[in-house]
Amino acid sequence: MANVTFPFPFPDHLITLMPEMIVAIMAMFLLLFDVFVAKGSKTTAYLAIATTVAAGVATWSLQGPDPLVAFYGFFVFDSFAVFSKFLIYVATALGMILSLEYMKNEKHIGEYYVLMLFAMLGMMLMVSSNNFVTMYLGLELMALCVYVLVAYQREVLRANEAALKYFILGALSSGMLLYGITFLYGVTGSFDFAVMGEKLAHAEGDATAAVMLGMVFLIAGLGFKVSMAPFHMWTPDAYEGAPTPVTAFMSVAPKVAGFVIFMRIVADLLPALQHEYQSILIGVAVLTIAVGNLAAIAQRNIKRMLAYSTVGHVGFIMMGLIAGSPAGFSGILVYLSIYLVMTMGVFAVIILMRREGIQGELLDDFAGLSKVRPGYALAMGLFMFSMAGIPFLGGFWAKYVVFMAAVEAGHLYLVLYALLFSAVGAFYYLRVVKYIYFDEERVAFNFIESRPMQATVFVTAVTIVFLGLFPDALFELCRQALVGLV
Amino acid sequence: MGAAYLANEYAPIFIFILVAIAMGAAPLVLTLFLAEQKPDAEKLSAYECGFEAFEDARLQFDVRFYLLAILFVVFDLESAFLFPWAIVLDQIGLFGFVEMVLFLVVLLVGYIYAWKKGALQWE
Repeated sequence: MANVTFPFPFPDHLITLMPEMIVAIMAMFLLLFDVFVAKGSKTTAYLAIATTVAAGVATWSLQGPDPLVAFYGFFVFDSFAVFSKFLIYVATALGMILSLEYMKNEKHIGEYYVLMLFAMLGMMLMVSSNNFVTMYLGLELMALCVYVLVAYQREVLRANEAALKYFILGALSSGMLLYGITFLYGVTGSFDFAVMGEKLAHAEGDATAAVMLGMVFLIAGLGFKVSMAPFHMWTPDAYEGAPTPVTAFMSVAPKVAGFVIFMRIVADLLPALQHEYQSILIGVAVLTIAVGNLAAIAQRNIKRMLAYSTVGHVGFIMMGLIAGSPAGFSGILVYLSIYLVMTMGVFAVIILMRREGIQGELLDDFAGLSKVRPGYALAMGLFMFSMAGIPFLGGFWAKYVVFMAAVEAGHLYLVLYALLFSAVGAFYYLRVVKYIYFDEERVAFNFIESRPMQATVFVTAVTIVFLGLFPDALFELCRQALVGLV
Repeated sequence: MGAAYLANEYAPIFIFILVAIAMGAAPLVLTLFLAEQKPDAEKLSAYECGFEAFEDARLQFDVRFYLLAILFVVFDLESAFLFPWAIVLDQIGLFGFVEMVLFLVVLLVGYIYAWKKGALQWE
């Protein structure tokens, strides 16, 4: 071994990947730790939560004024990635905290947390990718773990159906995504976002047709992952069948990762094709907003209702993409942050209402909550008002920033349309409040008593109120995060 | 112009698909009209080499086969990666060696896990 030469300054690159390496090593360690030592005890869960914290600390200590690029541009560590990674850490950690009590009687519970860590690792790679290869690796790592998590209660028929549906449609959408990427690769000869963007700007003649095809497939494939309207069919079933903490996790974290990739692609890859992709996105957004908000009205199961509500929120978030401006992008980050807090809070309340044998997940189960547990009722009411976008709660500002960005970009009619449907959406959110405050208790409540979960409800509720009163710090943070991207 | 290009390139494939469908469908459709049909119970029963049909064609087989098959695929792929690596090992030096060792360690973790979980035992 005479020629010990690294092809590049290797240690620097590894340091850039420190958060990812911590998570990967800890996930593998916990996999063995659980079968040899912990054997299904809660130690694995606590160590997994500690890992998310460690990854957060590593990410924090790495961040600096300049973006770090590793492995020939396959991996970037910029402020945009840092911000989205923190959202992912928080979503994963909260998902784990919500699982502590809910999943404690499941078999093979150690692997559950390991799968969550691997899913988180996939999302971390996704948001740091600057290249379709890295992006696809991260995406598949995330998706495969989430499929298994959805099917975790494998004796439950509903969970099996949900996971199978999710898996088959997910595999199909990955195929579409890859098919789209091949077209773009064929035109540009590169997988790197920046290089591809440069080449696509000069595509002409016959190449434009291939670019269009590639873009349509790309949007369809990614649209599936974030549940945009014609590709949302899996969402209600997967949400309903999955264990509730998994529903909470998968309704936030993969959406963050998916939209981050969308933003990178829109910013780096498609600026030259603004008119083409905008018209596609506007069509999809119009459909997404309508489907999400109208279908939610008919749901009696709150998990299904929240699934359609997610579809509706995705439609609103897309307005930031359509705006395509720095204001739109920072609006998306604001929306995702506030959406994370609201969603985690709502699901924490739903999980706390699990009774002996049955889960409190029908709307009827919320009847009379205010008389039994006024605290939970108040929190749930706050979350619902916030999701509906009632002023001076967090959810209002989330909508405000993306709508303003879209108006500034000249999409006034789209914003009016979205406002109309946001009023429709208020109906089914406020219906939950009506059940909680104005209906009589029908079935006796039996709550899970768990301090960490009660703390989650409390903290998320306070955060929503706080963000509603003082949103400026978050706005500024999201603006800062975009330095370098647009 | 782009659309015209696509139409030109893919038209033969489209025609080929149409011809293939027609070739497949023609015998089925033609027998409906041309052949003489007098079905009776004996003719409509399943034909199994002259025997009476005694079993459903769909067999259930043990889920453990899938488990073994998945494990096989994983380690089969591993060896598929090892061969090209072994051939160029003298050119990629220590860096390539360490990289493959890391890859094997990750696989080893999975292997130990599967072993300890009893996935390799047939009960």
